[in-house]
Amino acid sequence: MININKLCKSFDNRKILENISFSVVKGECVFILGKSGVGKSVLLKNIVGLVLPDSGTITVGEIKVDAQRPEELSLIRQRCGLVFQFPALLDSVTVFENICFGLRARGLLTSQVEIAARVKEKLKLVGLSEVVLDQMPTELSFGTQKRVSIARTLAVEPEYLLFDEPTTGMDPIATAGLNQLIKNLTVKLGVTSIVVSHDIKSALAVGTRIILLEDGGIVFDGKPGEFKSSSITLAQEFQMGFGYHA
Amino acid sequence: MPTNAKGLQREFWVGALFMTVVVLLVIFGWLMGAIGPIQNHLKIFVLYNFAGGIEVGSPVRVSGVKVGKVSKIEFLSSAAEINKDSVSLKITMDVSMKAAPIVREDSKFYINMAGIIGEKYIEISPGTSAAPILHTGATVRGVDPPRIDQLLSQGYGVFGRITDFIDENEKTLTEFLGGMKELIGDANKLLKGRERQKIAGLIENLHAVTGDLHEISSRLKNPETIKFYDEIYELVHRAHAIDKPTLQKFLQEDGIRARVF
Amino acid sequence: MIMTWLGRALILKVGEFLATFFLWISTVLSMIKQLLKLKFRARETLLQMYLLGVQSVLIMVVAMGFVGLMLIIELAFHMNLVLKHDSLVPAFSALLMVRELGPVITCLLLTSRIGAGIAAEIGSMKISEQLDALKMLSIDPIDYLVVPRWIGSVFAAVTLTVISLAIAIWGGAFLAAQKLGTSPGEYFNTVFFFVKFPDLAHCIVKSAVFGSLIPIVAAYQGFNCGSDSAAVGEAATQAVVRTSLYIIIADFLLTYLFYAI
Repeated sequence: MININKLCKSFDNRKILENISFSVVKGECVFILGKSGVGKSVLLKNIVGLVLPDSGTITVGEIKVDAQRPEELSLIRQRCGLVFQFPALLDSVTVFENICFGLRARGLLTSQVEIAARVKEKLKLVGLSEVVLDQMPTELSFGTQKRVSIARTLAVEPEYLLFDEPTTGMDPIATAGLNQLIKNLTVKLGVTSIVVSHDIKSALAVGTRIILLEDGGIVFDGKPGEFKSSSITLAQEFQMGFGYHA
Repeated sequence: MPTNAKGLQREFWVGALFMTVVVLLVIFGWLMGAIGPIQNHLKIFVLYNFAGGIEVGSPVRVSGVKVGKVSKIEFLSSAAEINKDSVSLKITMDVSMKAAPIVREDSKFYINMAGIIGEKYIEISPGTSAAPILHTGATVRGVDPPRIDQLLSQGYGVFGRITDFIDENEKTLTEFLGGMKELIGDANKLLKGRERQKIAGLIENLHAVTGDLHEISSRLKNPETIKFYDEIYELVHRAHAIDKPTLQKFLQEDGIRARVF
Repeated sequence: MIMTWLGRALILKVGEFLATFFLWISTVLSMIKQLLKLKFRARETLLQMYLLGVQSVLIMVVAMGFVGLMLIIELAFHMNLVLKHDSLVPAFSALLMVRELGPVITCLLLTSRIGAGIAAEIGSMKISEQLDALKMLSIDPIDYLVVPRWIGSVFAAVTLTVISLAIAIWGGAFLAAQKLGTSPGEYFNTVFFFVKFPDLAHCIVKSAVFGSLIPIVAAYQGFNCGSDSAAVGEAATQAVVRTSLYIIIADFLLTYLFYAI
């Protein structure tokens, strides 16, 4: 379980997050929606300790996110895989190296055969062929890079998956494939997901819970069905936007 | 990821750069005298009382050829006694083996200065073949260089005493100089006055006398005169043995009566 | 009224400056602490040695060759003007080169060649969240990015400085023969009478210090880069400006230290 309690964060005296509190239980697929700049990504990065809160606490399982304890932070980062908005692949090494980096760095697998098998398995999971393994990230398209970055996150088999705007820059077919992937992971493998997105269509299709952020606070927290019938202006705007795009 | 060939190429160039620098450092070190080619050295200890600006690394030359360098300078805790002379500075020098045959026990170890930049070095004079060769570990007495500072301070002492003397005897000296001046003036007058004729005459007579003497002495030099002189010398030599008793005996025994005096 | 306002503004500015300064120091210290753990990534380190060292050789050789020639001409002018004598030009130019200009100019050139690159690379990695990705993979960005660049930069600084010295000194020998009529033998005798091994050691220590400043300052600028493309450019510029400034300040401090000991 991820528990966020009274989280506050500001940058340069500008309050981004104010008194955010919610919990995510195992098996949920939570979509966090909100306009750009509302602090959705900051919220995700707070969970894994990449950004530190001004006040409030976050616990992942029984472990508190605390920058002063690097070993525990490392464990949290292993349990919570974060897929970045940009692929964030390391330019200087191959796709294969990128995917197995975490495995090696954490010493999870030592045998080369096991590592290779794991890399191929995750690559297949994100729908890529083994051809890309020896290529450099810069040789791949943005969408492929993004899939590689998801495979890299999946390689360490995290309990929680955090997606930061996963469908940005992807074509509709790839988006549908990704949504299916998130759903499969949640349903079949029992992975808990938190997805930060603008994409209301994905949220309604895949999510089991939707949290809507506005002006640093939570304005809606409920099931997709409740979201559809919500009277909150922002929720309605989002759905209108969805209707417009559709 | 760099392909293997590319990786190897990079390794090669990094290695090449590294090796180049190592070689350059060795060359620099050798030129700066910090390291030398590995070879056998003759280690000689030279004792001095005054090193005259020699430093560790200063060159050592034999007959003007660089054959080694000073490797260590140390003060002896108890001064060594060599020929009733106590010495307290020990300079260790490494001399190339090629110079070993001419560094002998009678070699002299001078401290010299070369060039306008004033490089100090130790000059070893070649020894004579009669003296035994110096072996490694030998201790010899070096020739202390003249101490310019001491010479200067002695010079200052002498000048100081002269100054003191002048100061103390100023009056006497003034009188003395006055007297001298008067004397010279008188002599001048004498030479200029009426007496000048007489002095001229005197000098003329002197000239004539020496001329005569010269004639006499040149006459004495001819073979006849020399023979005559030799005879007289022999006569006098023989007459020398005739002392008073002999003369008395001669006069008395032979019954000669003569009025001698 | 105005004075109060000015005073308050000044105090705020000074306070802000000090706060930034101490933050900088503490960040850099923690960075150095992390660097000294030397978590070695051989392949990446070798790559950086190649990129920072080998690929800078040509520009250094050309630049420092000209610096060496310039020194001979300039010092010959000075010496002839002041001393009416130019026999010590090689010695002074080599001494200046070894003790000061060699490490300083080489490392300033190296800063402009690699400092901006390191800052921009790390800055853009920050923008594209690669740094966060590294952290998520439990890899310390300092170990992964800075350590190889640090080793590469120190390697580059030391090797390039030694090569620069060689180029400048041999280039100087050529020009001295042409312009001053100093024979190469005479040139090297004079040069290495004055340039001693400690000078070379100082030179290497200096270049190693400057070489380690470059990636530390550049990486700091990269890690603290803003979140837009303009910020990357600004980080690169600041990296070069600050590193150059720190190199000059560090040079003064090291020169002072070497002079004192």
